[in-house]
Amino acid sequence: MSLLTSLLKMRAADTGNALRASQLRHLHLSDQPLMLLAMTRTGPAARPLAVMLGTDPHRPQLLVAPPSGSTTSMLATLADAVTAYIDACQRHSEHLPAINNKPARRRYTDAPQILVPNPQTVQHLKVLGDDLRFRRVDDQNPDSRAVQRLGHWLTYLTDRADIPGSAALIPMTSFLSMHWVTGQSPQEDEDLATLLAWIDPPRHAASGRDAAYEAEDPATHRPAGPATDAAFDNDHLAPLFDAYARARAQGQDQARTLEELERLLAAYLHPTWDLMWQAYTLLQALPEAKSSTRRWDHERTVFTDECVYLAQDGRPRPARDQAVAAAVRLARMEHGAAAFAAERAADDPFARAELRTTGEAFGGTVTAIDSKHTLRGPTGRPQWRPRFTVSTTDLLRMEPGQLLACHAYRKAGYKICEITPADDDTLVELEITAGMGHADRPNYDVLPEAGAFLVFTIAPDPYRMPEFPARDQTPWTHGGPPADHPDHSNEGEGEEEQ
Amino acid sequence: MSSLDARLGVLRGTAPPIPHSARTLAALTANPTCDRRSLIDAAGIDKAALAAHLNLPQPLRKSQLALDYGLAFEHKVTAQAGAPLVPLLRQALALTLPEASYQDVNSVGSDDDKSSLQLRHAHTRSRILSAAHRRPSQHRTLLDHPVLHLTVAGHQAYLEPDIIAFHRDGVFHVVEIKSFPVIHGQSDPLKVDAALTQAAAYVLALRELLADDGLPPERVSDTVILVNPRNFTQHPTATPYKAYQQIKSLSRHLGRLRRLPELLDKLPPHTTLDLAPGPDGKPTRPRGELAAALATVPARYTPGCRHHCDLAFHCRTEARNQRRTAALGTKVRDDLAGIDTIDTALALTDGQLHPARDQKDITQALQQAQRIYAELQTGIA
Repeated sequence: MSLLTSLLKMRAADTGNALRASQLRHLHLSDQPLMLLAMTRTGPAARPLAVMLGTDPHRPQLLVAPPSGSTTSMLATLADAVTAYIDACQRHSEHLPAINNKPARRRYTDAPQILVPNPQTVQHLKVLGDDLRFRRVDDQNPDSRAVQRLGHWLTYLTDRADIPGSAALIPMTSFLSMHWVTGQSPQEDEDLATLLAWIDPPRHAASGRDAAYEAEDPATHRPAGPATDAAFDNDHLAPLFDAYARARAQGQDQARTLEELERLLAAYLHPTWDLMWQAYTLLQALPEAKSSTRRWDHERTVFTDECVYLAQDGRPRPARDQAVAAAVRLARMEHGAAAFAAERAADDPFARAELRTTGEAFGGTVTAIDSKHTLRGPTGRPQWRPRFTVSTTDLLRMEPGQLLACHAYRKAGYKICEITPADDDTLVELEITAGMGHADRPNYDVLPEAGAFLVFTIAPDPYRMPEFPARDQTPWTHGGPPADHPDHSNEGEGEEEQ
Repeated sequence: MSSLDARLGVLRGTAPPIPHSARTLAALTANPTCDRRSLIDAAGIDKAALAAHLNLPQPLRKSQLALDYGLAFEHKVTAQAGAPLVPLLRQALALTLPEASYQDVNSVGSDDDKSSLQLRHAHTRSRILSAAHRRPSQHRTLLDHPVLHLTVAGHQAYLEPDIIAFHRDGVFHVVEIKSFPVIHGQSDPLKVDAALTQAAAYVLALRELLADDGLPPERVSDTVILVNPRNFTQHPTATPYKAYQQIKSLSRHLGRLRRLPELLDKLPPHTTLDLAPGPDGKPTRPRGELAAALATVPARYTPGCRHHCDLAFHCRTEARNQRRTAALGTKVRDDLAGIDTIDTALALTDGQLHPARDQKDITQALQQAQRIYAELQTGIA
């Protein structure tokens, strides 16, 4: 968040209406995403209470875990639903020709996209994945394999959710906050109901602020989970759980209590389910940013790789990453974040505006062009390095030598040669360092026109994955080579219900 | 002190005071600059009752399911005279076998489920001191639910740690049983921090007890043991944590509470937050009057208050009505340090207000942001 966002927050609070923070959607949105709401039991770790999911806004599937006893059959049903969705993404594949050092291969034309209400749900699914992927597979019981497979996918998806720009598992509140600025605090933006009320108030509301106030009414407001609120626990769930336990103890039929629980949770989850689709429709209406296609292609590559891994190896990710694996993961996250930021700046005028306020970019008008400028290279050959001058009124926090990129000429590179402060603007002399071709085959397209308004952003550092030692070469400073079977931290405990 | 008590009593009104607990002490460190919270807690005013009377949502209401689960776990850990606990602590603290003996201070000297706090405190005190002075007849190493005293702003607060363990080297350890899980060796850092802050209160109380008897504070360890369910089971696991930071921070905040007379001096005379309960116990105080009385004590609202204060929604409405930047989050507040309200900030941005000397930089930055945004809207950029 920048000072510009703070300013827009104040404007939104002042007028009572949310402001667009971007004209473009920066994440790919599938035609058929899997919407998933999860509720967890208060108390035990990762014990599900209910899950509502589906790809059809009018026909959600509701799965409810029994108040006590095994959740395996509920989880197996969930596993079947999620796996069926993921399998459907593997129906078609495309051929990728060999490039550079990569051999030719196939890639699925689709990848799963799961939308959940908030980051807390992502966290819940991560913990659930941590539990399920280590469950023992029992050949007598086909459910156990499905549940373990679900654990694997949950770990994969929640892992992807950590990488900026990934669209495999997206928390809706973060997705919306990326594109709109509301007049409430970021903590309040984490509540889907009030966030959406600000962005897309119902017709009768005078403003987003009024709508958000209305949406907060404890009588109608339903938290989007995964935790239930205390009032719901005490007034509704606890009595039903007690009734269930009594019926169980007396050997009576528990079906009626279960039906009642199902009705209760369906009514509890439905408002959030509708909000999720409302948000989906809003986001779908935004034009997709250009680079989002590249990121989705990458998502499909990663998904295809994971499917191959599952078919060929399929061992679960260890409970805790070993040093090298953790470093690789961190490097991927950093690369993802840098690439996403650079692509956003190239695609989106709002992102560039934000960078201009933080001093990571400046915008100005081209005043003079020296298209003939040449340098003498190290071998004595002349090199064509056209120069031009930009007049900017932005506060400049850069120094000569700084490498820049420009959204209008994506292939070109620039360097600041000289900065001359004038009366009410600053003159920046730039040299084109890349993309202009050779002196004998010049590419005149990179030359800007005089009078054009251009924004220059700091060029992203060229990325190279750092070299890491192999697993068995892990230095002693980082714990040394790992033992053979670090995967079974759960050993001897197995699955314990209650 | 008695005059301070009397003044706090006026602020509280007719209701009996609610003493500090480890939880309220921990909340002190969450938003230490909030004068409203400091005064209300010092006077022992029932915030939940205030909130209920003001028709506020109750984000801090306890879930029965959570309480039941926590209790069940605690019983499991302390069952059979602490049998499951002893091996865990033996590992975490390197206790040796003959040392482990267990004493429940929940009910002493009577068959009641719970004895009075004073009685339990007296027992705790004698047990701890005899252990500290190594009287040979006493070989108790685990005290379940002891009761400690802590002086908070001149008042005695009773605190109930889960377990106090005594080591052969003469060092006491506070042990807290918490029902949030440790999954693959990691647990939620926020929950751990809250638990350690709570444990810090026990450490300070225990040190106070020893100091009264002329024993050095180092006899109470900075290392606190948290006992949690392991992974997805209910099997307990014990993890030692260094609580040095939390102890230091809590004791600094407790020291600050001596400012109370200053805060009281700023209030108009006869200010009270009394709910004036009628014969049926229902509050009769007009809401407007109560809100006006609250308004005389300045609050420092942040959106995080809802996690630890019953009055958060009242303060939020107030902050929104006064159009404070803090209502938009700490990020906005810090970005605009020195400008308290949205109106001032926007007036400076739009050039309708002349910036004071210390507002020049931020005004320039705001105006530049505004200019860039305007260019964006008109499609130049």
